[in-house]
Amino acid sequence: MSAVSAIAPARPARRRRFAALGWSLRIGIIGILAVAALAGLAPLIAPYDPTALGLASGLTPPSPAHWFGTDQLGRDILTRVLYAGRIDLQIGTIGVIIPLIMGVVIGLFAGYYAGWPDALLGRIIDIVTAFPFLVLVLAIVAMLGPGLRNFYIAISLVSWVAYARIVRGESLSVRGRGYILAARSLGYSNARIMFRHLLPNVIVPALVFGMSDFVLDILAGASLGFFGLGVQPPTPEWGVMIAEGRNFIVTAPWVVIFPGVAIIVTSFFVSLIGDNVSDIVRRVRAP
Amino acid sequence: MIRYLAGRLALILPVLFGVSIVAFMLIRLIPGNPAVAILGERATPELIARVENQLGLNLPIWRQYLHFLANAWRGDFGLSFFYGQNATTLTLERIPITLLLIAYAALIGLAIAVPCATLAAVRRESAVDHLIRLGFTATIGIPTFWLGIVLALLLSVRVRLFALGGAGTGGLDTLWHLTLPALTIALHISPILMRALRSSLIEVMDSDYITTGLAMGLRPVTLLISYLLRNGLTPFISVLGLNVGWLIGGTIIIEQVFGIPGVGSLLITSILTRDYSIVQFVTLVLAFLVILVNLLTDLAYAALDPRVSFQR
Amino acid sequence: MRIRVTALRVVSCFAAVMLVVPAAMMSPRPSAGAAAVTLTMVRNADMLTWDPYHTGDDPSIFTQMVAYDRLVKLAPSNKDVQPELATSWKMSPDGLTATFTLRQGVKFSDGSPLTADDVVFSLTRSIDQKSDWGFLFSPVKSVSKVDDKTIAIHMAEPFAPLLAALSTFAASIYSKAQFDKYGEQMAQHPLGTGAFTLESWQKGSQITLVKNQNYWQPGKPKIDRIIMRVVGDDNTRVLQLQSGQADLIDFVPPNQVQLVRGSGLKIYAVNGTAVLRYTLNETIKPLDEVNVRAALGHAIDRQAVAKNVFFGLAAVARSLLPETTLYYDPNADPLTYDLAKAKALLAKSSVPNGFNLTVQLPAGNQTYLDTATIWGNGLKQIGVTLKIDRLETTTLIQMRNAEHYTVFNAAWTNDTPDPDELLGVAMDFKSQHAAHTFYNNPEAQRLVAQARRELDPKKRQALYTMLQRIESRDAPQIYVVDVPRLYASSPNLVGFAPNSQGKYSFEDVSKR
Repeated sequence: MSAVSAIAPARPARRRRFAALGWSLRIGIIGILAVAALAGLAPLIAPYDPTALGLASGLTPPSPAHWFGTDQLGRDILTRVLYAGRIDLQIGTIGVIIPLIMGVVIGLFAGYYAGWPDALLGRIIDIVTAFPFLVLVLAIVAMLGPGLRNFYIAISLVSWVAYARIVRGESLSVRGRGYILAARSLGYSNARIMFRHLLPNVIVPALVFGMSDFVLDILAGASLGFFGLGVQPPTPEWGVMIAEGRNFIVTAPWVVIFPGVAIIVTSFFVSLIGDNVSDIVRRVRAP
Repeated sequence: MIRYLAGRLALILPVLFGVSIVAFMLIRLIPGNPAVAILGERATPELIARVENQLGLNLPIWRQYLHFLANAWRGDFGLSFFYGQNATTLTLERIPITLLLIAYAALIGLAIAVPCATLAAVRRESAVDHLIRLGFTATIGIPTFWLGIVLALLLSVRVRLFALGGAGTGGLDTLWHLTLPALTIALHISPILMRALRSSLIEVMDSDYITTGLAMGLRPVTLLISYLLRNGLTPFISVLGLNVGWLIGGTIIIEQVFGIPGVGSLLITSILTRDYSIVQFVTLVLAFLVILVNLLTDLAYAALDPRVSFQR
Repeated sequence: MRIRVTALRVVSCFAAVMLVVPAAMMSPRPSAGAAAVTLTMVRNADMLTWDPYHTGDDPSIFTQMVAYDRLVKLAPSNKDVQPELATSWKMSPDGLTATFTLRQGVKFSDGSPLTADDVVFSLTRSIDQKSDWGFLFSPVKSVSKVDDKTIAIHMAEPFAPLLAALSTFAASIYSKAQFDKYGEQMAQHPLGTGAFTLESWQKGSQITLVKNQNYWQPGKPKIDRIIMRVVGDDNTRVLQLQSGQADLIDFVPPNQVQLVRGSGLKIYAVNGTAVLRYTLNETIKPLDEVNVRAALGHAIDRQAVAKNVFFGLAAVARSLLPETTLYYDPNADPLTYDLAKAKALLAKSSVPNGFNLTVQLPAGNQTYLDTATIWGNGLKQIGVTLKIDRLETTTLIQMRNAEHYTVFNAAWTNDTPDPDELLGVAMDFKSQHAAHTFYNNPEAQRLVAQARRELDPKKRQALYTMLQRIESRDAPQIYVVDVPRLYASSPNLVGFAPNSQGKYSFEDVSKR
């Protein structure tokens, strides 16, 4: 489990351990913390109000007054990118955590009990994965109405399957191992075996997958924005900013470039962490 | 192997059945029905009631589903409310374009990912490896519709290299028209492919027989082709198979952006216009496709890797 | 079980199968001959039907205008109509019967002759009050054949907008034999006398029209084939025009107009086809109060909408009518951006300190969103908080039709230059609760009916000025800007001239 504790932010006692991590992992961790800090401190550091219009100064290119320029209604893009970060980090996090919990619990049950619960889950997984991801999310959002909460519901209903599939596969291969059998013979309750003994051994691949899922969730938000069903105004969100600014890509590229860079930078840091964690896991697991 | 195949094939039907139920219910749970969509802004309650009656939407939902099943059994998937044409004709007409786009994108994705992953794996932890990985890590965050527009601007307007929009008139013209969209999708999926391929190549390179091969004095290039690709490709093909749903999802927006008459864009517009019969039929076709690709993947996997047998 | 195949062979077989099979499944489409001139138009949406009886969407309306002719055609002056399938017409002194002399020797595109029976049949369907557009012809009782060259239209009362209504797509003339053969399926199989006729139609992606070999105007049309392709994405349409793969596009995004013009392409901006407006639901308090509605109407910065949303291409609206409508009066006490006045009006209402208001917008429409954002900015300053709710389009229309909405954003496209269409829908309570606002003003209702009957243009002008004044005073709908309809073409396209209602025809179009 060293892999998991390694992602935790460095505390003084662990400073040496943090320094021992690969440089790319360090960049990833510092980077994502910086992004989170910028987003979190947006009300303090952003130069303007994210919803304040400047109708006289629409589409001004980057300048000392507006580092990232303004959009067609004269809103400051730097401010909006900073505020949007709060929503996007939230989307990435919640969009991973809820499906992760759902998927892990369901996958664990199916993998542990095997037999018909497993067969049933297998078919459900087949059914959900037979739909293109975006189509299901779009249909659910269209059904519930666009908005952040409904987006989480849609993402959770669709992407738990990926986690369940991973955890189920891992559990199926681990359930016959000696220590599980031993725990059974000791008369431990099924719940205890599942969550105390099975879970720690199967959760790491799911966590690694979650790292890449973080980015995919933000992109799914952008895709919904493409169909106008993304996060609702006046809340700025990177994906929606790009989707709605795409008509300006030729005439006022700064409207789309800066939120785009924000997504790329964030996903870059998250992917660095994810890559390293999976490398570490592989090394730890290798005999 | 025949028993294995039969078992796999037998599972297709219940899954398709499940897909049909989910699609059927989901599209009907979205507020607003085709009567409203067809009549548009001028719809009056009387007109809506009349059209609902015509379309059979006033029946209880389970009866509508039974009707659907009975008709589907006879190969009749209903009429598109919006286009007034058979859902099957409309869909099947568009399937080849989407298949071609997916295949083309997968090939370009391969062409990008394989050399990069091989290079990265061979020069592991070197500057080249880091550069390749950084590059791919950065591209994963670019929304496809943005990438598509930028590529079109560069490769179709600035330099008139590729056709833009539509699917051409068949044959080479179609390939010429599909190159830009396929490239966009390929760039979108290549980071996932590259990563999976690199890590599986590394796994193989760490294994004994590569070390042995090197010790035997074989040229690294020979080793690469004969051993590496054969063994490294197995997980890669399964990654491709696993991501086929993702790949299809990617084509949906790209078809929309480039105005390609494929099933992806048809499905999205049909959801938005509540064209029930189209949504039902297209989801079934796509689901069948996904299942089929997964099956083929497993077969190819077994063919490539002698260690995997068809027994389950 | 072992299958020994080299990896490369498997992969290459895979690749070959994946590429070749779908490519082979696609039948190559017929391509035009060498000398034929083809025009490629890229539009933002496909049409849905060729039957005017059941038509609701703009692409169908616009394309039907191309393949069908009508008795009369809107004159370029916009004030009048000119002959098309009718060569002359006469109104009876009591204003109750109009007789039309039909052009002789006109043939349908399949070579069969156009007869008075076809005209009577088509128009009888047009005036059917159950049809989607019957309301345009409400005073018309019947259409009859006088002789082989003449038809007559009979009305219950004098009907001033008759000729204007006959120039709309809803009065298109098509073949009776074709309808007898196909019935409702005529929606897929049109047969008209227009300059072009349908060759093939890939639903949702492409319509191919070919020259009508039997067209009645000698020497026209000048092009052989029109391919209308559907590309929903605004950027892509512009890029296709720039890369030379389209000759003509519609719905140019306003912010790119300058750029397109700068790169040597032609821009066609038609103003006066539609007014962007907010429809207020008077069953929701406090929208039942006239002071509240007028205050809301004075709180929108129309100049800013024209500049920031439409990049100077839209005109500030000064009436519910677009500016090219007959009897348009910009000086009938219009609603203008005036926050002091808005505050004063609100002070006289039951909510002097403001209230919370919701506007429901179709998801994905950036123009509507930006306009509402500017409105919200003005409203904030008079104490009203505007919440913008975006809903998926069909859901939204459902809500609007069920009259479960608060404020709805619309921009109906005008079909005739006569104000009867728009004001009838907006101010006559009988017309779908004054098109879902529940605005019920007996005086307005009376004036609408009176203006429809009035044949003297001077008196009609006075009546419509009164109606526009009442509309601005009562503000059941708040008009914002006159939305431009924007087309762009390559520089070598000649003769493309959309009319004042934005509709286009191709008989005079050629490529240099």
